[in-house]
Amino acid sequence: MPSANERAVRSLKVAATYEDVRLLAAELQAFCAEFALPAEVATDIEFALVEAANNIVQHGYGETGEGSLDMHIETDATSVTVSLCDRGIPMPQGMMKGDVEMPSFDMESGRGIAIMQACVDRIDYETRDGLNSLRMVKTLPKA
Amino acid sequence: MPQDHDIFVLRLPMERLDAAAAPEFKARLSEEISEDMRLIIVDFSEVAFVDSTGLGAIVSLLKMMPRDGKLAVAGLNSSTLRLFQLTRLDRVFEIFDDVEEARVALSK
Repeated sequence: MPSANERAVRSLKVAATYEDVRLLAAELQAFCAEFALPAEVATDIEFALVEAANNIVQHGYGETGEGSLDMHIETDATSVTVSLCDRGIPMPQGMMKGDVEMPSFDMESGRGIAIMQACVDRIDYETRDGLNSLRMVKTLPKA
Repeated sequence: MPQDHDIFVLRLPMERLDAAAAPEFKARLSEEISEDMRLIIVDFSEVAFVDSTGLGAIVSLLKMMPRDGKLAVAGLNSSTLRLFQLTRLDRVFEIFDDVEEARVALSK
């Protein structure tokens, strides 16, 4: 884990496809391993990343395979932050505000945002000049 | 008492059951699962990661089964178990450490 004054960053840009979401997940896992982030943190932040990226591929770009996803990862001694930027259709306003309930057990879809909310401590979302920015922060346990 | 051959074990030969893998997996379900299969064990022992799309595919399997059917999940690792717990699907599926434990439980 980086010490109090250190900050580690990593970026990766991929095509907006489900196959390339795997590349983002692999990069995030490698980052978590390199900086010895706790396994539980690595698991949760990967769940949040994959659900967020899948949402962008499906709803932002309509599964067309067009467009791209930019991931930025950052960690210091207190938290790990994963940001995703895209130029697809933005999420409806207020989608990330308030707790989204987990759908009933027989639903085959609709769990993504509830999983994201359960896995990270803070989610910010904004659209500016056609660029959608999603930022997810997971607090690290105190050593 | 159901015999061993009444239990269908569905092996998942993939490292990730995610949105990229789900279409092929669901096509496989349509080919391999018939409506009269009452007892199914899904073997996750080779799966390192599952996402909500993968879970949705498992839910679709449950909906293909008869009402009195039982769907058990075996071989989850700490990560895949975590997602079942987060989504509360651990209350819907019977979860076992491995296929043999599930087979014994479903045979009772």
